[in-house]
Amino acid sequence: MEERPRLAVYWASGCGGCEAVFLDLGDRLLEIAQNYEISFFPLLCDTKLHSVEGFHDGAVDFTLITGAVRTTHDVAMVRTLRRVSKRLIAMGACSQLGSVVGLGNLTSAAEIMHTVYDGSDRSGKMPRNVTLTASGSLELGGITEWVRPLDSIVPVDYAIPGCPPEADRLWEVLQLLRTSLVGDVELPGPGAVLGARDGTVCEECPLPQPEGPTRSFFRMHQVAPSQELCLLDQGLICSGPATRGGCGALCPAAGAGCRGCYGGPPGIYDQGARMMAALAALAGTGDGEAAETKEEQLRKHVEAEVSTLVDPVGTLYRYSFPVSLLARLGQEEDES
Amino acid sequence: MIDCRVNHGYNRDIQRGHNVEYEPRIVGFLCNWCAYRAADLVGTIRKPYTANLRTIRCTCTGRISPELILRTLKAGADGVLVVGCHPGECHRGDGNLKALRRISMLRRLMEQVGIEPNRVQLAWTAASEGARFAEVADRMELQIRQMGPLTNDLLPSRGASSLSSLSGR
Repeated sequence: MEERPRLAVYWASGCGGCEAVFLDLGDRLLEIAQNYEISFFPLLCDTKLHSVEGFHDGAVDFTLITGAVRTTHDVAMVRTLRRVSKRLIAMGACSQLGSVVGLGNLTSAAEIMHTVYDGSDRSGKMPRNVTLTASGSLELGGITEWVRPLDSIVPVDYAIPGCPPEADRLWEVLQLLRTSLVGDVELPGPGAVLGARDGTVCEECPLPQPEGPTRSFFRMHQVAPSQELCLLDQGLICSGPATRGGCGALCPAAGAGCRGCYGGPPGIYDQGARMMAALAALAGTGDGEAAETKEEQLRKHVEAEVSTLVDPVGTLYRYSFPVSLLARLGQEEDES
Repeated sequence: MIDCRVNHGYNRDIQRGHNVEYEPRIVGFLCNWCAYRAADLVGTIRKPYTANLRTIRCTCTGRISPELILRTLKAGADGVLVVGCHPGECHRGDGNLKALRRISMLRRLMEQVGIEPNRVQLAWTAASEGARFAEVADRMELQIRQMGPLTNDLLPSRGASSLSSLSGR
């Protein structure tokens, strides 16, 4: 039988949504089992860590890692997997950008532990890293101070964006990877984003173009969205203008603003900051504003309008906070 | 490229125990039509004002994006001062109002992550208001001097072992 490429899939600190995408593949899931030899996929097969540790360097052709790097165990696992893999692929927004898990960077690890285990309505029992049993001591790693995307720990070859990535896109990537080994296609250079487009979500959106002005913002439960108007015109935050396309604009088409899960399109340094710029451009200038004579009143007026955006960091940087310029201001960093 | 790295050197000198006086570095984005002319006028009227402001002339404050401001701060500036025309007098219609909205929003986000919002300020001057421009710059220099170098005490530390991340595309 002809040799099949080896595939590993590992779930770091994520929600399991990326794994559900494998189920969304439907019958094609069986084709994966036919086309690939699965070396390590704890969710599906009984593969053990020590067997992976025994692999020689580069033994696995492709490794997909989902979830952010939040625990010391994650750090050790991704280092091992990097060593044994020819190509390492960050799958999903957590792995690529830090994502919702990365909003944990707004708080210290100690405060998170306190809230979860030591809050007033909890037992007050803090988890231990070491437990002594009759047969010896059991050790578990702890959580890291800063949630990291995969490529700040190990070099990453490609990223498949999305929360979660669309099943069709994942399938395309898996096909691309497999055929690249046969020599039919050539893979792009390291650092490429696979399974997405270079344009923005707006380019794929079926809703009409925004007309503006949008001055104050609403949360999803406060308005019934209309399909006749751009969501931004209705005061709903839609990160489409600052988000990479490829998903087919599923959320805006269903009346929910784009959450921004594919990250910024190429050439953008900071997704949230680009979204701020887009929101201001759409706000336009009403007659009231231009005619406002007292400058301090004008400032207060605009500040009040802007403050209708609840939790701005969690909204505009929902998926990209750990990699954002905003989060890295005032932080010491190694020169790359 | 402006060399905004003076504070890295400053931090290093402090760590080594050298006694250096902190000099804030403020980058000013001035609109071509009002603010830059006001800054020019300060020279003409020979009014002394802060030397800590590095000015950059731009077409309109409506083109100064939050992304550019964040990159300026990340590159080592301690503060960013954006100066445009008075509301209603924008050479390009409403650029100064867009800047107002962007900077108001950016300041709110900075506050949420634990950075003094006053590190980014927006001011308006007319081309004839040289003295006012000097006052604005002096006031901001004093505020930044009191704040000291840009640090973030609210967010957890990334840790010294951090590598470059994929946002540096």
